[in-house]
Amino acid sequence: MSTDAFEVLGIGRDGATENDLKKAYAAKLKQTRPAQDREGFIELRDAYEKARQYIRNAKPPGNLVTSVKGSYKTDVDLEDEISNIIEIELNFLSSQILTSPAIRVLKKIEILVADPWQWQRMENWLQVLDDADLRTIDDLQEFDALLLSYICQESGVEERSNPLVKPWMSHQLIELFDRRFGWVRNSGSDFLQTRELDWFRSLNPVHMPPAFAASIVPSAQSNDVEPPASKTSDRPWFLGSPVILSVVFVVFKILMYHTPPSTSDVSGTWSIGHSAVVDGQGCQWVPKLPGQESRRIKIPCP
Amino acid sequence: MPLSPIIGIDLGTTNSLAAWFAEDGPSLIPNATGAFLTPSAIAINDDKELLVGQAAKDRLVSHPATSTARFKRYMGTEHVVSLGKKTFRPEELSAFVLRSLKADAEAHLKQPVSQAVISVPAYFNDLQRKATIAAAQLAGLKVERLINEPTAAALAYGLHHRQDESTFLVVDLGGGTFDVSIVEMFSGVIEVRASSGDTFLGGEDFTDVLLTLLASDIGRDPDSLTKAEFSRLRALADEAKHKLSASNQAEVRYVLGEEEKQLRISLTRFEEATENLVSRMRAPLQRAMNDANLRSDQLSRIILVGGATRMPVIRSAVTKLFKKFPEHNLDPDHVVALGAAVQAGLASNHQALDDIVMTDVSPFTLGIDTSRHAGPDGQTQTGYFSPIIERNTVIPASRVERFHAMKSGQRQIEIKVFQGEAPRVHDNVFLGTLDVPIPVNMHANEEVDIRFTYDTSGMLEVLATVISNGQQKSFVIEGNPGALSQEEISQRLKELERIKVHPREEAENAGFVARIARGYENALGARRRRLSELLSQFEAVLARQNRKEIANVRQLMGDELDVLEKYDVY
Repeated sequence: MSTDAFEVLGIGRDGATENDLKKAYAAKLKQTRPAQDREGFIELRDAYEKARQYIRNAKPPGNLVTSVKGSYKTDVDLEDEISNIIEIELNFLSSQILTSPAIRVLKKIEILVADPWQWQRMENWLQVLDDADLRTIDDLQEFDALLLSYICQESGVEERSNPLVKPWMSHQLIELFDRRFGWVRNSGSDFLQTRELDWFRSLNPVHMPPAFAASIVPSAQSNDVEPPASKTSDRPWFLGSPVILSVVFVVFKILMYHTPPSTSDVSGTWSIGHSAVVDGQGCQWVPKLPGQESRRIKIPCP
Repeated sequence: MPLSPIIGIDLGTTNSLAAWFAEDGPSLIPNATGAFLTPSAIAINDDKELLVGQAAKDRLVSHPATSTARFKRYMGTEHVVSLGKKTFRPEELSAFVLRSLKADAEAHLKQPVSQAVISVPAYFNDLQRKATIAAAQLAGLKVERLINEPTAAALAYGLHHRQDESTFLVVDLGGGTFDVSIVEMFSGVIEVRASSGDTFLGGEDFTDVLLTLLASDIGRDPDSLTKAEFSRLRALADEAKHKLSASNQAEVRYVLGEEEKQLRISLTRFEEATENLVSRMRAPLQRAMNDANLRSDQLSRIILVGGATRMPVIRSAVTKLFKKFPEHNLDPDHVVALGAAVQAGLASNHQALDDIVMTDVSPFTLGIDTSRHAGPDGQTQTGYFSPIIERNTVIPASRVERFHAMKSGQRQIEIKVFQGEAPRVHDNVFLGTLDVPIPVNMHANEEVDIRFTYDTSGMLEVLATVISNGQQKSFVIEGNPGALSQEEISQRLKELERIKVHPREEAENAGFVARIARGYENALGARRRRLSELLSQFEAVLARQNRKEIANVRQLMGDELDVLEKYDVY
């Protein structure tokens, strides 16, 4: 394979614009049609994407709104990419901050989560999500991104290694968000979004087993392959035990009836429903309660 | 002209049609009744003959037990449909439609046709694509290439604007599927930048909503309807849907016992009831915009494709979302077939197209099943999806990733290939598996490079290279669990050949008989008696086998039927 992308395209590296590049690519493409010359096309396309990234990286940041979030991560310095994206989002935010409908709707959400008697009612959430202010695809896209970031921030994405699930982030609500925005099945189109989506998934025990949630950002070494191991052997013995199940059930009932919802302190002694994943100390159980989907209860370590 | 032209086929949920690339551009091929659209419906008549198209569609009302439609929704599954005593796989039913289109093309072009470009929803997965190729084989057609429906539409539009520099959005709501593609054009290159969709959202779902509304108006639960009642009410719902595309209110009549009942549906009520369906269009649109990294003002045009985009509710939803009026210069029912014909022209190196190149993307992520050590005590978690070719990668493409064995001393690595977007493999579509032996190494975890090569017709080649000894092992994913194997295809081909097909030149007469019969089902009193007379008269004329006479009588009776059908009730 040829080493220099610009050479493959037959143009000079210096002073080339994205437009020159497109023209050169279009001309070469007519001689290297994908259906007739597969290998040739793959090489040409590769060169085109590399050269394009080179030109985009060379541009001063700020003009990059349409280009950086592309999916050509392979040959980009990751740090560059992140700083570019942050810059774009900052520019974008500062221009939109006073007028954007998405921000107005997010404000409504902030008000909603501050009142425990209001956030418990699902219809209030539906009302906010169906807000008539969010009419265009751009508003919806912006709101989607803002809401995801807000949820991640509220659950401590910056400070913590495991999410701290606020009481208002109910199982039901997480499911609702997923139905609306498809966050669980979305793998993200840039590094930051992917990280936020991973974090969001870890809020809901259904989408993430506890052990994995304990190391949310997979390390570079994590791409291991092996024949699937039997799943049951990984689980502590007490997970399947009916005795423990009933004990947990009783504790759950007591907590349900004796503690009013509170927004102020969740990291204290307990939380119900979809609590934060605890570190490796083993204080986390995932019993199946009758008539309910799998829920988690966090009990202080003895 | 090349010896045997390649035809373009739009194999739709509701209607199918064919086109070819003539000297002056793509051109539609009429069927035996002279229409371009052939309803994707199959029926078996009383003589055990197979009917395809309008005649079969009309029989859905009069003979629901021996007719079927909307089988595209079952492509890629094991779901079988029974027609009378026989059962058919969705591939076979689709093959009948393809065979009928092939015969129409041969009659129109006056030469044998053996190759086709067939369009599929962009969001069809690998199983559904393989099923489509199998259907073509059963119909005696070699698939030159499968083309994504919105991409085909982009080609048909792009042909008229060859030298434009623009980015446009194609919104394709067909009978059963919803597809979105963002296409960029520059210097004759038509490049798909992102595709997304929902394979279970289409015009038929809107008909189902109307069916529920109508059923509740006559005080019935849709589940409690008999098969015959259901077919009648559904045909009525379809009629109401078409009326609602042109006016604010639809009136339809239903026969209940010996009584005619007037049913009214207003556009407002229809829109309220379908709000949920319309809002399901949002997520794929948003995702495509996200993946292409665009804001709506960067789109120069929005193109609507698919018969269901005729509904005003769809148009206004798209207009509101993008603050821009969508275009529909080409007939939304024809544009995909025309685009498939353009691709057929490209495939046969037609000189009128030598300044155009189209590149498409893989709408899904392709990757493998991996395990991870996670948590402080290094527990092993299985079932994580590790992408190798990301969605919206321009194809053909070849990508490589390196993976490690889980343990030292491991003897083999099992590569399970999946397609989809979910982080856990069990939510994605399984495509195939490959075992790669690795040397036993007690000191370190062996490493393996896995290369995926994905080509334009959706073939995936997997190549594994063991780093330490350079050994390679590869396989091509062709068959899938649940798909037909080559032996099965040739065996079924023999079985299908035994089925008598209603002669093509008789299609118009069969359709006419079905039309009278459908009218009879829906009429009452004097009109019903008159239709019964017409039917016996027409059958008497048919028996004399004088073509000229048949055509004359058909013409005369047709005029009368037009009048009678104005009073059609269901």
